[in-house]
Amino acid sequence: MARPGMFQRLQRAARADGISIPGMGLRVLVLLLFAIFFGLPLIWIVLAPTKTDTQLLDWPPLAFGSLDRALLAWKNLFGYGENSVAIWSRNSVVYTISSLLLSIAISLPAGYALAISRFAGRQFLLWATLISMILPGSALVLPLFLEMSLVRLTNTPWSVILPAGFFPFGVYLTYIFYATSLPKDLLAAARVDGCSEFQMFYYIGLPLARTLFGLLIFIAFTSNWNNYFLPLVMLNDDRLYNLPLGIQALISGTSALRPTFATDLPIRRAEVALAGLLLIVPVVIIFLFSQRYVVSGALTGSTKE
Amino acid sequence: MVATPNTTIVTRQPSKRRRGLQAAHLFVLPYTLFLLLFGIAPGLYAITISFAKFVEGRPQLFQAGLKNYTIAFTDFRFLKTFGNAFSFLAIALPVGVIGVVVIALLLHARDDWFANVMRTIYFVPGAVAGPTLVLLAIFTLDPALSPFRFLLTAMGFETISDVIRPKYFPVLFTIIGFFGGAGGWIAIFYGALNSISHEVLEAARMDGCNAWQSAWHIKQPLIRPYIAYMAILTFAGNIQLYAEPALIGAAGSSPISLWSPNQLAYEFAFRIGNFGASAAISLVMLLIGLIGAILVLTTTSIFQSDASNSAEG
Amino acid sequence: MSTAFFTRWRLVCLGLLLTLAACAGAPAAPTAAPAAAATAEPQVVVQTQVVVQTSEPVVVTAVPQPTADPTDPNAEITVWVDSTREGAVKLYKEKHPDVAAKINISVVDRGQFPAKVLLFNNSGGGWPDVVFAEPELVTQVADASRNFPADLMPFITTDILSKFAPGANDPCMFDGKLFCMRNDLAHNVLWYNAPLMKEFGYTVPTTWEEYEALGEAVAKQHPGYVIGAFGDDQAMNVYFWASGCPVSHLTSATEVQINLSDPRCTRAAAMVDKLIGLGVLTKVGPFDPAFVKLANDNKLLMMPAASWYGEYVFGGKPDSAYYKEAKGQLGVALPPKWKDDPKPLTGAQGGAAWTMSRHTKNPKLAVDLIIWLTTSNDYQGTAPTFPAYLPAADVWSKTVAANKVYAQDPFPILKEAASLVDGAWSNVRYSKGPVFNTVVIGGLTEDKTVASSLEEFQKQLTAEAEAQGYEVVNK
Repeated sequence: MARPGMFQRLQRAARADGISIPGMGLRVLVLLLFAIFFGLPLIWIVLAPTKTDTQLLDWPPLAFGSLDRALLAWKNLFGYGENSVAIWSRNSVVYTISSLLLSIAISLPAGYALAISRFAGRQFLLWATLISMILPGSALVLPLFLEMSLVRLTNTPWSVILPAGFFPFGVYLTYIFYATSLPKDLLAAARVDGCSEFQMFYYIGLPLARTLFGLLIFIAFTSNWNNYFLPLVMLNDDRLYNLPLGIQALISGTSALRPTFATDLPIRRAEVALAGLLLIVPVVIIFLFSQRYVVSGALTGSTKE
Repeated sequence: MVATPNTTIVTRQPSKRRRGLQAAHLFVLPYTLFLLLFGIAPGLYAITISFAKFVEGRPQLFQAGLKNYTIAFTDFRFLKTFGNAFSFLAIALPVGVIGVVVIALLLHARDDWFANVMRTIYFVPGAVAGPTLVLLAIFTLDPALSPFRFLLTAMGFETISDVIRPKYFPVLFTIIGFFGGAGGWIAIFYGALNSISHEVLEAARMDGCNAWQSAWHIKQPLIRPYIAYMAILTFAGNIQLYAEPALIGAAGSSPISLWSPNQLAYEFAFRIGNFGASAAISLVMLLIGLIGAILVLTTTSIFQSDASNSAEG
Repeated sequence: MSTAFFTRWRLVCLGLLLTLAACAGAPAAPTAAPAAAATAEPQVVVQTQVVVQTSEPVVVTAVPQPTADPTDPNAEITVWVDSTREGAVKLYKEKHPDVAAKINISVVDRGQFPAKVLLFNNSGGGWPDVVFAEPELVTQVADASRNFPADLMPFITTDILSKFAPGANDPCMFDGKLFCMRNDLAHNVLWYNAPLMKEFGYTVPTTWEEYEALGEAVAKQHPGYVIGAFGDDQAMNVYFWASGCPVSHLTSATEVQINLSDPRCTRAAAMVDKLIGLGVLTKVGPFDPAFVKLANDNKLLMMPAASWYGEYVFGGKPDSAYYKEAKGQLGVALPPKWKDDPKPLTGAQGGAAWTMSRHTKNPKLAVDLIIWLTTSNDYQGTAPTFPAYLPAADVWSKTVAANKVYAQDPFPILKEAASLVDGAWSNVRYSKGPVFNTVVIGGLTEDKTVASSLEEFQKQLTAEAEAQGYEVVNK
């Protein structure tokens, strides 16, 4: 590849996107700077399980320790209790997937209807949704707990899954999405052809929402996967904990973060960092998976039936 | 999904609309149920118990009159915490919204693998939580240990106590909040940008728009509803700041006293045992958040600009 | 990103944890993790253990069972512990297989204990039966809105109580009721580096005045060496508690004395200001990486700190914080006293207890468990920290003596110092530590002296106390 050829290709690409070559360079530079801001701490976390406490203090922050230490961290974490960490991981998966399915199944049709039709109670729903997102969570702790204990669901997985099915953020996002990107004439045409509302949703609304779907998946997954407070309020039995709650319970009883608790458990900073990675990796995987939908969901040519 | 009933074609307008309305109600029914159970009912309960007296933690309804409000509003930390929250909001809201929009537009300027990689990197920090986040903060904010230590020492900081000082809290919390929260919104905005019809963008290119003009004049206005959405939630969320002050308390030498109104609300609820006063503070936070929401909505009128205009029969 | 509920409240627990306390228990949940041989569980490091006297203290429950609630000797109990103490309860189940099935263990973050009790009060059920918590947490759950602990007095014989270290159970006494029993003590003692002291030709101070003079000498003759830390709320316990300063002197259940202009406070402030100015008292806390480095570099000449620092911070093991090798370098001495004080006083940093719920359906089992946990040689003999029950402490001393990091057997000093904790400094419902950090430590970073911060410290402490319903005297 001769240099002129590469440069010409670059020029052609630049012209196609309407951006000059210095502009491309500026864009790359700015985005890379942000990547350093977001990414450097992540690299630190990935490397932390390989280092002992002393190495973490003495060595350069991004030095690599030893694979042995990382493997030991894994052993220490999963060796704690009676498979506690494995059980918490399984619980997290179950709760998160259930909540995700429930919340998307409920929110998608709701947001769609809010966007495309005027019906009695629509304004009320929109405002109530907005307000419930703005209402501070601290006010909801007691009433939610009481509701669940009324139906004897506290300390069961349902107490964590059901409230998480309420996904106002998703409803509103869906509403905005359909409101801005669903072509009005498409729906009108479908109605003229005699489609029922359900058919329209199924044959038009859903396929066009690939992007939205991608967004909803990673948002719902991340917030449910990381949910700490709801399980804290609802669950008492440590076999039911999800991963964030369990890790917190484990680490708060050890000296990993601050040596203020004397303990013989082998939980140190490496283990804390590894626990963090356990929480991060699935989120990344789901994000990458959902991005396929986001990227491929561009609305093209849908009005030309 | 929903089983599609075999509908007969009706030519009369009114019944078609009625059928449309009924369908819409079915669409929103499950959500409405959940909204009632987990949104409205708890909210109403919170308002109700703000007028309750508490005996052994249990509410005696309507026996406190306005006493809880008095207790909350005259607490020596009430004004201070709200002042703190506003000083944080003043920095964090513009930085957050502008930062996210700019990054999303930059990412979307070219459809390349580079943008995809960057977007993923920006998103991952949102998944760091709990003790790991504390650990990260302990190390990242310490000028002796941080990967950013060259930056920190260049700014004159030598120990972590130099960094974690109350006068820096608004900036610190902005940075931490951006670190954890920006990626999600960036991904959402990117998705929103991707939903813009290619034809619109093509047409703009044809007309001679370069990438910057397209971003500013075409893309940004089209994603304004999303920007408004983010502004509303960020406004309310900033007033309800909780995680970052708690994090700093855990990461600094040791716990610090209450900094944000939400911490005060938790203090009333779970330390003092007065859920009523806590609810009073929550209502104030809600009110402020609502004012922000109304401000944003009236200036962008997103409730009007939707496809429902064409849904009438 | 404020998407689903509570995403932002992830760190509620940590904040509360570091200030306060515990979590409350669980109702009929089908856990019963059987006490089968937990193979993968990392157990307490058992060092060469000398054969112990076999008979456990005989539990003679006091004659009248003063329970108003109907009790059921077959009811299950739920025990809330932290991850470190989980092994202790499992050990009890191993030793008592006939009741093992009735004991459910849940590992919790006890920072949430007071909050959970409030929730259970509202739902009318679900309280744990036995909880491992610091006396500060017990104080919180003993308040009017929670009313959690049961009075253990009727169940404990005076014989058992008398064998605890003097004053150990004082923080558990509320108006004559015993709301908890101490698990361990964390009294402050004076640690020092014996070889360094010998090399520099210094004698170990017995008074704070001597300590101050030593600091001056060190600053002049051996700059770079430190004799203590003043960077977090441990400093408050080390220097102010030991001086008898009225930060939280309860005069009754609802009245507290806070008076920071008292000479007992100002003398401590003057001393630390002097030493901080000289640089022999660091402005960073003992767990700050910078301080740990000082210790690793053997620049730590002396340090007043809690009794558990010996095993867990100085350590002498490769993954210990301060001393990576056990070379007999760690000496310990009684905490210094102020010259004019009649007797030495010291503070403490931690030390937890076991408390029982007054809602428990099986108090007999719960009390048996608590007594075993606090007094048995099987557990306390190998516990991480200094047992509050002195006969068990005697057994514990053997595990400590095996650690080669000590210059001499630390146990006699630790034992004597255990009775020196100033009982006037009470557990209260308002948080002293965070206010101290914000005002005093925060003031240090702004280059204010400790003495000049005392007035603001007093003001904020008073406000916090009043917000918790106390009446403050000697303002």
